[in-house]
Amino acid sequence: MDLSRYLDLYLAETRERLRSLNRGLLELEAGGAAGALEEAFRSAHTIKGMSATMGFRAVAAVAHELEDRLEELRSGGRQLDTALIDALLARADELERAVEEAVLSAPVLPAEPIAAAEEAGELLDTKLTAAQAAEAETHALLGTVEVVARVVLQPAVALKAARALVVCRRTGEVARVLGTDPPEFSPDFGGELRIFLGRGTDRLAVERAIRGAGEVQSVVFESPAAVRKEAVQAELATRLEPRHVRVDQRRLDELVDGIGELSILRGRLGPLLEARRLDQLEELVGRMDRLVDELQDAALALRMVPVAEVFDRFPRVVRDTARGLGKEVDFLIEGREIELDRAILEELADPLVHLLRNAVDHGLETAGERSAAGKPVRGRLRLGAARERSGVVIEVEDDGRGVRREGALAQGRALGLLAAARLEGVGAADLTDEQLLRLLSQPGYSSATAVSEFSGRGVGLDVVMSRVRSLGGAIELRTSESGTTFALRLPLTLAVAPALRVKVGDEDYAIPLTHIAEAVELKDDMIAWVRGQEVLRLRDQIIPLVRLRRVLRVGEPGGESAAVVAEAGEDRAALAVDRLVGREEIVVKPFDPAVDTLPVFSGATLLADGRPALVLDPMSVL
Amino acid sequence: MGRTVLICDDAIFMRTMLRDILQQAGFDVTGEAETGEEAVRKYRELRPSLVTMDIVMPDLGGIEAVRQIISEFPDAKVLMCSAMGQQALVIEAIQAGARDFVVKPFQPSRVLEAVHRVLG
Repeated sequence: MDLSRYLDLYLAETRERLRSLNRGLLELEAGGAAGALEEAFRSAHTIKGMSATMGFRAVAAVAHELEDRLEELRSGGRQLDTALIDALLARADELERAVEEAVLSAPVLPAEPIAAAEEAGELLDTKLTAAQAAEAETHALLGTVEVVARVVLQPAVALKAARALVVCRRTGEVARVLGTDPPEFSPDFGGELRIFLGRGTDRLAVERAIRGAGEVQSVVFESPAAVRKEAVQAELATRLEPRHVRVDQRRLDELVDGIGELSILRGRLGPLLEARRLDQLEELVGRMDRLVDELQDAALALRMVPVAEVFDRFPRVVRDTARGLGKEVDFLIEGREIELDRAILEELADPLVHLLRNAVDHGLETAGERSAAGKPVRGRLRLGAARERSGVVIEVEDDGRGVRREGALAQGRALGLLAAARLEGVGAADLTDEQLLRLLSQPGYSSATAVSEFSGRGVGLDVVMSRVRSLGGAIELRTSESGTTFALRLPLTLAVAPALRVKVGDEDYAIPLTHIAEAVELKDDMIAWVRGQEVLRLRDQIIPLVRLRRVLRVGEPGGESAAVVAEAGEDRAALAVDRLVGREEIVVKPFDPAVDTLPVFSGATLLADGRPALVLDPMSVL
Repeated sequence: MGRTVLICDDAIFMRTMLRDILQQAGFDVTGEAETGEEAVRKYRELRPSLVTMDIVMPDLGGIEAVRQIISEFPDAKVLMCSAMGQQALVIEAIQAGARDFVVKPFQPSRVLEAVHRVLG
C-alpha cells in the first residue's frame, strides 16, 4: 500500500493533535477540568495510532509512553504536580520533533517530485531506492529555487548573526528569498550562509544588496543542484505546512448549491432576451446579482479559519518564556473563534510571538516588583481577537509597568534614531503613544541592555510593524504605568477590500479604505501654504496636501473637487482628486508593473462596471 | 446491496485510509462519524451493512456506541478498529456486540479479511 499519499494528511492532523495535547496539558496544570486530561490522552492516543499506521515506529513509541503516563493520571495512580507537567510537556516536545523527523526522512515519494524531476529531463527509474527518492524530494524543492547565494562574512566581523540578518533583509528587498541555511542565526553563527532565491533573480542586484550590508568577504552564486541535502531539509522543515485546507462540508454545499442555482437562472436569460421581456429580465438580473454576492461570501468563507489555529500555540510560548524568566503569568485568550483569512493568520504568527514574549520579558514585572507596586503577584497577559467594522482587531495586553518614555527616548538618542523617528526636540512628557510606537519600531531599536534569551532575538518591532502594514493593517500602542496594549487592526481577507473609487484626470483609481480616515469636499479657502508646502486646513488640523494629478502626471493641478485624507499611525496626507465616485468592494490583483510605472500602485482591479483600474497605495504617498 | 459501510474514527487520517481500503475492495462507504454519538445517529439514518468502530473518541466512546447501536439494532455488524489492543477492551467490545477486532496499525489485508468474516 502506498502510504506516501497520506503523508500530508498525517502531518496536518498530527500537528493539530499536538496542539490539543499541549492545550490539554497546560489546562491541566492550571487546574482545568477533567476534560483537559481526556483531551490530552485522546490526542496522544490518536497520534500513536496514526504514526503506527504510517510505519513511524519511533513516533508511535514516544506517543505510547506519553499515553501510558496520562493513563496513570486518569486512573488516579499518580498525582499531578509541576514536575510531572514539565516531564509531560518535554515528552510532547519530543513527540513533535519525532513527527517532523519521521516525515522528513520518510522514504516516500510525493507526486510532485516525479513531475519536477521529469521536467528537468531526468529519467527516473520506476523503482526508486530510498536514497533516490530523497534526492527527488530535494529536486522538487529546488524546482522553485533558481539560484543559491553563498555569502561569507569577514572573519573578524562582530555580531555575525545580526550582520547575516541585515544581509537577508537587504536581499529580500531585491529578490524573492525562499529560505536560508542556517534557517536562523544563533549567537554562535559562524559567518557563512546560503540564501535560496526564487525565479527571476537578478544576480547583480542581489550581489550589490548583499555587499551593501558591509563586512562581506565573498558572494558566490551556486546552482541549486550543488547544494547539500541537509541545507534543503532545513528549508523543507519550514515549508512543509501542508496546503490542504479543511472546509466545513456545509460551506462547500452552499457554494455548490449557489452555482447550481446560478446556472438555472442563466438558462432563462436567453429566452427572455429573445422575447425582449425587459421587465422579467430586470427581475432576473436582480436575483442573479444577489446570488453572486452570496457566492462571493461563500467562496471567501473557504479561506477563513478561526484564529485558534494559531493562538493555541501561544500558551506554551508564554509559559516557557515566563518560567525561563522566573515570572508568574496568567495568560488569557479571548475570541478564539473569530475567523480570519488563512494567509493573514499565518503571517501573523511570528509577530504575535514577538509581542507576547516582549510583554512577558519587558512588560510584566517580577513578583517582587509587583507586590511592591501594590499589584497582584501574578502578571496578567491577554491575547484577544474581536470583529471590528470591516476587519478584525487583535490585542496583546499586559498589566505590567508600561513603556518608560524617558528610557525609550534616551535609548533612541543613544542609538541615533531620533531623527529617523522625527522626534528631535520632543520631551518625554509630550511624547504621545503614537510617537513612542514610531520610535520603538525604528529598525535597530532595542530596549534591552543585554539580550535576554527569550526576546530581543529574531523579529523586532520594526518587523512586526512592516509585516502588519504589508497585510494592509495598522498597529496602535497604548501604554501607561498600569499596562501596555498593542492593537493590530487587520482586514478580514486579502482577497476583497473595501475601496474608495476616485477620478483623477480621465482615469478611475481605487484607494483601499484601510488607510483612509475621511473624504471631504475641497474648497479653496481650505488650502494654505506652510513653509513652502501646500496644506489642507481641516477643522483644527493642518494636513499636507498632495495633488494626485501631479503625482500621477495626468494634467495640471488645480480645480480638484475633493480630498481623501489618508493616515497611517500619526502620518497623514490629504490626496486631492478630481471627484469622488463612490465606495466599492474590489478584488485586488497583484500586477507586474512596467519598468516606468510610478511606484504608487499596489495592484490592479476590475471595477463594478467592468473597467480596469489601478489601485493606489496611500502609504507610498505618506 | 449489502456492501455499505459506516466508518467511525475521530481521525480524518484513519477514516481516509479505511475508506480507500474498503472502496478499493468494492465497498460503498456511505457515511463517516467522528464521535460515538454521531456514530449512533448515522447508524440509525443509514443502516449500513457494516460499521468500523474506533474506541477512543470524544463525547461517547466506541464501546458505548456499539452498545447503543446493538440495543436498537441487534443485527448490526460492527468491526472494532482501534489502537487499544488490551485484552480487557477486546472482551468488553465483543460483549457489547462487536463481531471482530482489528488492532492498529492494520494491514489492508487484515482489515478486509475481518470485514468478510463479519459479513459472513
